[in-house]
Amino acid sequence: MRRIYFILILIVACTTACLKSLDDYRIDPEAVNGAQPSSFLSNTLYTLTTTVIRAGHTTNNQLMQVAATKNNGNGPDRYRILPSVFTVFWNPLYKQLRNIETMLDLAQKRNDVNYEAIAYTLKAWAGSILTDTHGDIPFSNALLGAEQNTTPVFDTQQQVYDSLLVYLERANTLYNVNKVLSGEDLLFNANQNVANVLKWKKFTNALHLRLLMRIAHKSTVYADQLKAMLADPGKYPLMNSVSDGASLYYTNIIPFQNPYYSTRDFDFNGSDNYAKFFIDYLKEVQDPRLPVWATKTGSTYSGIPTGFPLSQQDAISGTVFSTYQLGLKTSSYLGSILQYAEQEFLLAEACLNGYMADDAKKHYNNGIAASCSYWGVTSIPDAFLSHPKVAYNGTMEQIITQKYFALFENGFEQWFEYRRTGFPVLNKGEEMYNDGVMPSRLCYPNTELTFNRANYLDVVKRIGKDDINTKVWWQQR
Amino acid sequence: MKKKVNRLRQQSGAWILIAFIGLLSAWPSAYSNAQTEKLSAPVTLKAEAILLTTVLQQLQQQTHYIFSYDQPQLSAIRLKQVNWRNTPLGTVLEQLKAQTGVDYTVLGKNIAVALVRASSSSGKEQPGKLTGKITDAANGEILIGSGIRVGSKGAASNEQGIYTLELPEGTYIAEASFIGYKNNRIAPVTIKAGTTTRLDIALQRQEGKLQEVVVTALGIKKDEKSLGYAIQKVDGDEVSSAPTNNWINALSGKVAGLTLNKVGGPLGSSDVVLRGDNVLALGGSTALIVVDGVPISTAQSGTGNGPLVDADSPVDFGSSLSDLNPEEIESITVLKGPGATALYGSRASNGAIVITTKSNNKTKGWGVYANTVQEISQVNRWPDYQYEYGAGGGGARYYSYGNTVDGNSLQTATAAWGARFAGQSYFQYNSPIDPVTGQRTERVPWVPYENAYKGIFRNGFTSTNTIGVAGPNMRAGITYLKNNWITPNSGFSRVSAWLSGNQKISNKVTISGKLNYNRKFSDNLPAQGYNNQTIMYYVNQTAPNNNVEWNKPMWLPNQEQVAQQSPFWPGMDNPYLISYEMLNGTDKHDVIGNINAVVQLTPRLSLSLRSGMDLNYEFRTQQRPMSTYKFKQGMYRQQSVFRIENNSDFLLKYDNKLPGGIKYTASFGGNQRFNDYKYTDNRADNLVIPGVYNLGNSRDPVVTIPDRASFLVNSLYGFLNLNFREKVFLELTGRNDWSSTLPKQNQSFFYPSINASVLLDKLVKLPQFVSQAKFRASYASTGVDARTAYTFLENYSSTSFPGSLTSPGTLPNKNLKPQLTNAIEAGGDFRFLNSRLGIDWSVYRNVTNNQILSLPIDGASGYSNAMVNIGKVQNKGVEIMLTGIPYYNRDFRWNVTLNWAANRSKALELTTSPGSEGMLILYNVSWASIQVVAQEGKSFPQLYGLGLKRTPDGQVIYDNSGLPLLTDTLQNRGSISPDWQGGIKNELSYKGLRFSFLVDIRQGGKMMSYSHAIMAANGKLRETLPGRETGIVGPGVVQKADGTYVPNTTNVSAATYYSRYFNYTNMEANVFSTSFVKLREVTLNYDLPKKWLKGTFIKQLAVGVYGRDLFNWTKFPMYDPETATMNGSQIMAGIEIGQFPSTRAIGANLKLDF
Repeated sequence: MRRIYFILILIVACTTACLKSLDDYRIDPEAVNGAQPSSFLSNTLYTLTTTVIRAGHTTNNQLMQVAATKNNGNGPDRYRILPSVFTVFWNPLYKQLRNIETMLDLAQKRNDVNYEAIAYTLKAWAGSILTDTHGDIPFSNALLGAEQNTTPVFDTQQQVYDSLLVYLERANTLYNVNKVLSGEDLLFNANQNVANVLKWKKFTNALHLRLLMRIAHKSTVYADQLKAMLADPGKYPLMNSVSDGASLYYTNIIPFQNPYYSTRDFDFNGSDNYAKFFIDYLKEVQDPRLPVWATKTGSTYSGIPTGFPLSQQDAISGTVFSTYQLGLKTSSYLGSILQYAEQEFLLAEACLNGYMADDAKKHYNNGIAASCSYWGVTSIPDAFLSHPKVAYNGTMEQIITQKYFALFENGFEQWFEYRRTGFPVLNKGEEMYNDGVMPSRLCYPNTELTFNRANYLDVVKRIGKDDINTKVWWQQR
Repeated sequence: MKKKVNRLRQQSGAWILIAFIGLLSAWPSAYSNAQTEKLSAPVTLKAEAILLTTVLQQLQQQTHYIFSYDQPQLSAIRLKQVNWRNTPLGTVLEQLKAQTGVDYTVLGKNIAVALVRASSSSGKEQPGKLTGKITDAANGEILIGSGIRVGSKGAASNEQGIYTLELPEGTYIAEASFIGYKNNRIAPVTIKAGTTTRLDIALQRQEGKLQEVVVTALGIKKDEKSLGYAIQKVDGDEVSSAPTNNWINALSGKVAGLTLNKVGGPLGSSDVVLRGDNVLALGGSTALIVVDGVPISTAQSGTGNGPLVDADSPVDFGSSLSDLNPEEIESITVLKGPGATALYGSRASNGAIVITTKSNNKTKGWGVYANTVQEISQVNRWPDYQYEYGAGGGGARYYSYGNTVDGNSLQTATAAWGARFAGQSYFQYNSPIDPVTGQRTERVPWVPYENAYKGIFRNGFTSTNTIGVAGPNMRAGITYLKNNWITPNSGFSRVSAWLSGNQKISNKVTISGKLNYNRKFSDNLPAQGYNNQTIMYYVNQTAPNNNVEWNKPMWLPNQEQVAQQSPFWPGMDNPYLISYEMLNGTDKHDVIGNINAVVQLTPRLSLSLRSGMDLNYEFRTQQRPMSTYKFKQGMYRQQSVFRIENNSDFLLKYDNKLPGGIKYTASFGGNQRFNDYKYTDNRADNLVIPGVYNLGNSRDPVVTIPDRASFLVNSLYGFLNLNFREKVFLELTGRNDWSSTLPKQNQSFFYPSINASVLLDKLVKLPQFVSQAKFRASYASTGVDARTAYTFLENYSSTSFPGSLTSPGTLPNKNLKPQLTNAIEAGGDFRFLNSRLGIDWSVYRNVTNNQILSLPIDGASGYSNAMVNIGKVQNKGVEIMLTGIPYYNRDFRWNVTLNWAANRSKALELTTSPGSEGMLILYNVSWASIQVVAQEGKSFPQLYGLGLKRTPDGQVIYDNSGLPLLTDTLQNRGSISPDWQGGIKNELSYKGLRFSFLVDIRQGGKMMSYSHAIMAANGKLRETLPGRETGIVGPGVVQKADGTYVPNTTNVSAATYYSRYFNYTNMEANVFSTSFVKLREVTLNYDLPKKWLKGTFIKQLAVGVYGRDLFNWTKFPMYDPETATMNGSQIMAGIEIGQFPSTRAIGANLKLDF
């Protein structure tokens, strides 16, 4: 009898897990702790870049008449922006800003100046995209979820910009160009080659230049900062060549792949074909980048007229237009953050507008050459360079128009520049929404009304209306 | 005389009992068998001058027939001589009849013998009368409407319980019957001409009808009348007689308050919801499933992809629940609310489904049982496709495959706005091709093909075969199921084997155990949802002029495994390639077992020990060949999923009586639950060699995605049952859990419950027609821990970049508290006319507080979600079950069961979440402007989406080009929850033949149909035909620059109009009511009469045919309004995204016992 009890108890005991305490089950076996500042670089950089590139491909390209949709007139090409577009940056960029914050915090704790500088730079980059897209955004009060603040107040765009400029100023002073990075560096390979730490520094300054140029007209303080910066290339080294440019060159080996590598062809170039404006201009000036970017329709290239009357929908649907070269989907080139070409156009503009004493034409031509080089064009035909529309004529329009082509597949930068300068001069299609007026910003995601109502209502009161036509601070003149 | 009759009845008590046990299972057949049975028993007797009564006694001894007779009547009759040697009884009785003038009546094993008075003596002889009262043997109450049958005549008792019959003079056997009582036969009954004979008959209640024993929480068996909460018992037959691949779907329409959110596909997984969703998360309100006292896993572990054009498509791999073998289910008890499940603790706050599997034979011998079910299934409902216009982008009123003289190529057109099928000819796919130039040389007739949409489906076939043995202490068997589903090359097979046994190893100790082993195997389970690599994507994208057969062969010539043939839009992967090459395989082993010991420590104190587990391992593979739209370089992935759920319990039980006749049972027990999950996903998303599917063929380093989680919950509980003289019952329970899924400071939580049952009919005198009047009420509180482990820990997670980390998307909550559900419930179980009519009703209110949710928050906080304790959700509702027997007699019986339930959910408070402001987004497709939300003050879930923009007085506003404008913000588009659901089942039986049909009804509730949006916006449905030739002027207004409205007069082409109107962003045009009436189940079964089987080795044989989901009456435009979407591993109701058609099944079965 006793033996039976013993066996019973044994059976029960063997099948239970009471050998461990509850606390033993409060440790996540797959979690990684003990992070280094370098732990947060690769994934953050890649995710930020690909998020921005993807959003640019779908939204910026339509707004800026690079592309147009063949289908039913619902796209941003007609300035009809669906609420879903408002969310493209919000959560993804704030999430990466959170990772950058962790990197910054760890770098400061460990006194790792290069990672601190990189964190400041990336923070300025991601922050600038958010504010240039939406205007006023939560910034100084953001990312405090862990401190139980999940409803951050909105900073004014000017406050945001002031912070960004401080970060970039600080980053530039922090870099130790004699110390390699301790972890993988997808952007400049500065973990393998110490000389490349300087490229990070140049990127910081080029970004600084981009942001100052965007707001220089708002106050002499910013204009003076810009001048001071351009006057001291020793302190603020800038990019000298295409290879200094900040672009991710994908190896296309998992996970470092073109963001469109494993998506459907259709999502890349299916219903979005090139727009007439983009194709016609490149065709007219015999731009050598055109065959790199676009497919031929028969013997030539053609684009969809933006805002074509919907009565022509049937004809448009049945017509073949130039589309993105499918090769772009798997190319290494869809990773631009800030190219050397863009910096050169910024400098050309700075010369033109008196922020810098240098030859605008030189920088302008550098910009064109750098962009062609970036896209693998080795010999630039004279017919192109000497075309009246291309040969430097000392106008803002020309600089920004050429910059527009250089900013191809570079996130929202074409749109930001258009909102600042009004260039290039785009066609107004016959049937556009929003009275044919280019949207000035993206509204806040409609989840803001749900999740951060009080602060959202405050900011709406401040900016007037949460509308695509409300001008952000740097657009107000 | 009467005394004698009673004595005879006592003598024959044994046979009555046996006869009636037989009647319980097959009442009509037993009777009819007896009537016609041949009296072949041999009789041997040789005697002279023998008394008839002595002869009859001899016959009774020799034949085992029971002879009843009126001794005084026959005592004087003597036979001169008898000489029988193995003479058949029938012959003997005939001789007796001839020699003595007695007649006999055979009734089963009972033979009544009586004198027949010669009627020839008087031509105008009056009949006699038989009258009497039929009463309840226990309390003497009259039984109104009870039946009596004497010879060929029958009558029913009146409101005083009195029956009257006129009969010719003679001796008879009388049989009285009443629903819920055992039949009572009385013989002989002697009727004399012109006189009235009084015969009062008392009937015994049939045990197990009014006093049904049910399995409650923790597997404790209780008398149903003692329960203070609602339960519903379902026989195993209900899920096995017209089986479904996932057995739980066979409960549709049978249980009041049960909602099944069903996913299409071979395995047909369902989310099981009782009394409405009370957790603010999609798929979060699943009921607990318990098999033989041990909870099993209902978790789906999907491949983590969404249904709508995601990286890969979700696949329904089933769960331990869907893999249970319905053949072995003895009964199912549905415990509907927390009142019933308080003892199960945390996980049963959403109710529980308690399954008892079959155990060993109750009879002594060994038996073999076998059955086979063969079923054919087909699509049961199609959308209303149009076959009048072919492919074309819009107004391109021609067709051309490739650029030809007719115009540019429309090869890739997926919309059907093109040319009308009017007898003309075009260059098409099937045009002759010039072998040199590759150009199409001839126009061929422009015709639609119905198989464009329908041709990819085939008839499904399911075969289930079972064989088993059962003996006194053991039961074992095996079932093999093979399913070929309606899409090509899909389906699964499953082997289920089981072994159960029990052994009394001493006077005090009994051990029992059960073991079920299932192995499920599939080469291909079809991918779900709307995505390039799903069959339904093809069906939604193809056009009526695209013959599906043109997709054969699936490879381009000489490019097998390298380049698919995709004759139309390349985004539609070839449907045969999807079926035969894009495979999702599984191989799953599942062991569900338990071992039990009951130790009777003293006569009053017992100890039960139980340990059970559900252990499964699954190996899954997905392969995609090269040239598929999403995986140009091919793909191979494999997952290993290991899961164990282990529960060990002890329970001490003490029974005793208090002075005053109060019985009580005090119990104390404990449980330890251990759950472990280990998952590894290995991905080779680019392959080197075509057609080779393994990790070694990966072009890039294999990406591994691991996941592990385990948790432990310890519990102690106690309960006290009080029984006040079988009239009032009271139960008090309390349970405390300690869970590792909560932070240490909040790991312990206690929750009590109380319930009571009052049998009013026992307390006060009620009218005679009330057979039972039970009231019940309960209050229960249930604490619930976090559903997933580690949610309170802040951890970085790894990324696909080696050594690179990312911060968590969800903000952990270091102070997570348990969720709390408080439920009150009241109801009654009233039965009338001796249970011929029954009504069982419940009203309930459940309030769930402090829900543990991952709640979306402002991304600017650095997190997209936060773990929070938020919200208060109330569910209140009514459930009614009616049972009735409108008509019955000896051979025929008509039973009706009706169940009806209405639930109203309401999100009472959502504001405790920081900044949530009364809205909680449960599912969001931002680019399509689709949201499923919970909204404060409203039922939930609610659909949110864009709709038509309207003037203040409701007119649709059009833009200047004549197209309707959509609203700027998302608007409420209705509640997903139905207003009510119900089912009516009719069962008709005549002798061995049983026929039943079940009608299942749902009223109200909305669903967004994404498939409809795609099909309608592309002109595939008949509703897009009006205006094709004339264009459409939308009824409504246009806003002028000065803000005033003028009527819209712009004519736009049908293509442009409909593609805007039905676009998926216009939820208004794509939301439909999910009301339906379905002919859910029809069965026809026949038990072969035993006499046909006599002399064979077969003890019992039953044949049947059945139909399932035969008709579906609904206004829902796509396949089935009763569908849910597989979203990764969640099952989501309210939005249909590329759903599979649902099927109609017709089957036949054969059951054998030998």
